[in-house]
Amino acid sequence: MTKTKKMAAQKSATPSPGAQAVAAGEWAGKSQAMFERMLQEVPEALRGVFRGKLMQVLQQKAKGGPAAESHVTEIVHETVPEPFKSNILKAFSTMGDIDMKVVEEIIKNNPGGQETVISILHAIQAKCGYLPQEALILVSQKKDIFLSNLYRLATSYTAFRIKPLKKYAVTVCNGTGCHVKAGGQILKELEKKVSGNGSLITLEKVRCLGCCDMSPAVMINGELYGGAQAQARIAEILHE
Amino acid sequence: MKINRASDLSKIKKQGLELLSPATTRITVGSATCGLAKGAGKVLEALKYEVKKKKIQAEVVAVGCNGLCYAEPIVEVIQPGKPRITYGPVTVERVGELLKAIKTGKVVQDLALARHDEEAYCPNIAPLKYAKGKVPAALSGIKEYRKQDFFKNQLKLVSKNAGTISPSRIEEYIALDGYKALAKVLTEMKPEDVIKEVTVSKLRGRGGAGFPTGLKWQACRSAAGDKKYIVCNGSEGDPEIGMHRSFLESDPQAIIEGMAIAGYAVGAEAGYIYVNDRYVVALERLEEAIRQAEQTGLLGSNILGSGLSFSLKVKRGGGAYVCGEETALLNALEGLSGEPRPRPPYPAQQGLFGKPTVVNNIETLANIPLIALHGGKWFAKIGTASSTGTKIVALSGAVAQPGWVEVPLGTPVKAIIETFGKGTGTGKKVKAFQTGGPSGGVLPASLLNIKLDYDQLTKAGSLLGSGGLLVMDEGTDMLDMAKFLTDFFAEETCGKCSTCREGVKRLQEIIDSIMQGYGTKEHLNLVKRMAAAMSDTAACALGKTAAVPFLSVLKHFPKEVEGKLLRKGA
Repeated sequence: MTKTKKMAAQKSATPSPGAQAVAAGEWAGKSQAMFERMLQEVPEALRGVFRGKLMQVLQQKAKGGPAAESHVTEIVHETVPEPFKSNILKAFSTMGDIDMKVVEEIIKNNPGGQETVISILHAIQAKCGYLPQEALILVSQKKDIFLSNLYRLATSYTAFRIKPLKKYAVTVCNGTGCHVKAGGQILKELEKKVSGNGSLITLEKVRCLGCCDMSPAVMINGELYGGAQAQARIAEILHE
Repeated sequence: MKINRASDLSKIKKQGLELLSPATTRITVGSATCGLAKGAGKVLEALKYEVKKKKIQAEVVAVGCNGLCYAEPIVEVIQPGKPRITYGPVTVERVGELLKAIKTGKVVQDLALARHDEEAYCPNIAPLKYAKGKVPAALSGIKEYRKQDFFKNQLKLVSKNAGTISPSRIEEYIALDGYKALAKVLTEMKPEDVIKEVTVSKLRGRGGAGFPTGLKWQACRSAAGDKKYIVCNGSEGDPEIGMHRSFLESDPQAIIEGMAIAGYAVGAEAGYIYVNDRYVVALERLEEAIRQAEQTGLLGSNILGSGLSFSLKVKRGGGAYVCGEETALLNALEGLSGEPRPRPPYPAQQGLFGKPTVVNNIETLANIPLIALHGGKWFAKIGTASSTGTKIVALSGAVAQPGWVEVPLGTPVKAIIETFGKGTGTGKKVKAFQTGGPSGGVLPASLLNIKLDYDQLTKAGSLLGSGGLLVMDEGTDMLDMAKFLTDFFAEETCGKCSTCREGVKRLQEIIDSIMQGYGTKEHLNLVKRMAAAMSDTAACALGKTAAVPFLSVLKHFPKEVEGKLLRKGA
């Protein structure tokens, strides 16, 4: 049982129809992720108190039904002062279309403490394509690990990305073997071009794609290109 | 089939041999990452589809890589009584032609690379015979593999199964004497005897430092602790090396057997295999291999009725070069960020979760079954006096035929580049080479006769490392190389020790200014002082050796650096 649900369950001791609905884990859409995101603005020490209070408000609003996204947004508008309000609303608007049930399932499948975290992050990224903030918040909640700790892992390890991929994922091999064969040149040119025309390309470099005989090797959306072929394909994409 | 006696292995061996040289045709496709990148997956699908459609009596199997990376996708055909034929590169368009040849007993001459009349795996193992009687006239035009330079000059011990067996069938591994070593160890040897054999073999770590494996095991065995762990270091973060990935994808059972033997020797009941985050194929195959070993009763509790319990887990890394360092790797396994721990205590005393731990490289562990089976004395005879055994070497950079080969230690670098790489392939001469990944020094062509040996390379200012061999031709700008390698360290430093974190950054700046023409003699002196401070105070090998590439370029190619310095009055 999650902290949230535990708290809600305690409240439901006083018979109120709304309390039971949320206690049963009925969160419509992204409402749970939004609720947790809202609480992130509250200092750690006060979060428990705020959680209880805000949960009560949410239950009243839900009136026995599932907690909807609009309910959480209303609470933010009515109760949260600036500048936290703008922060939260901005975060809501950039929230990806993430199915939190999938994330919960992943966490459930990896029982244990800190040592399970890297596996969990890999699994989330495999499902979502990146590590969405709301997913990390949920992991932090359920594993009782500081969010900052998770972000440290997500940003220090090269396997993880915290922003979604764009239309073209261009992976340039930057291994020494490819560098000797002018892979570095391709990377430099791309870095320049992508910064100007970056809306379609996520540029990543890796240390070895495992096909040194095709060097300089470039992978575009999973398809492998070597040397001149790669240049031609990149030119096509940049033209788009 | 679950077995609980060592003698039952022979039953599985029989099954495996039937799979390896079947009564019908066996077609194998080299499907390690190097093959898959070149379209082996599609070739495999096409072969399966066509075989079914044309009702050809044949089994199509995905196998690993045999090192002929330049000729991928590789397809091999084994027909009863006939030599095994290696074809490459086989594209999807040529699948129809190949199958037609198989059906009519002919050969596609222009694709045929080698003929194997029999497969001699290991000096002490009876060869697997394919050809019976006289070789058919149609096949006699293809050169026998043992007469070809590429195979003749290799000594395939560790990689003997790679490219032959299916990585997802434990029967095929057992068919080629797999798990025989574990059975021998469990029934005939005491843990101390195993450690003694490893010590006698003089096996040294294949990951970088070259620490004697026997000593490491002994230290862990003598350490006090209720629980002990065996960790396989599959981080392989060097930016040009993929041979250990290839190995994991080709022969995962060998690692499992090696780790189980290590577990028995040091008294550990659990092990972890840490795999580089990008090695997705290897990860899947390892997990499958572990499942099969468990189902066969070769992992788990009471292995082969001996009372030994050993379980294994695979962990995917997060992607950091520094995680190849053993203490940073332990942190990564515990879910922390990859930063080295201060030593002592050494992992053998306090490692994973604070328990005594042995951390061994993939290739080190793959050598263990060989040593256990054939004895430490046999192993010590291979290679040179202080560097025994063989080494898998990954050839890349300016070579005509990149790939990996396994040679006895002590083989001259020049021979490797010429025999297997077939020269630079650019028409230019070799200018420099680098062994041991980015931490190794860049050595000039005048040192090409140096032998592949731990001590010789260290003496020359480089290292054997995990076995990368990068070749640079005369078109290479050495200062640019030094910058590339320094940039690599600047990206990969974890930032824990200030001398490494700051030192690498300053080094980058200094190289930049030399490249732009603002460098002075004082800069070079400063680099030398900084490098000394880094190697004295950094906690791990990354920081200690981060300045090596630039210093070695400065030492061996001084003109290229000094020519760019700012002149007085300019």
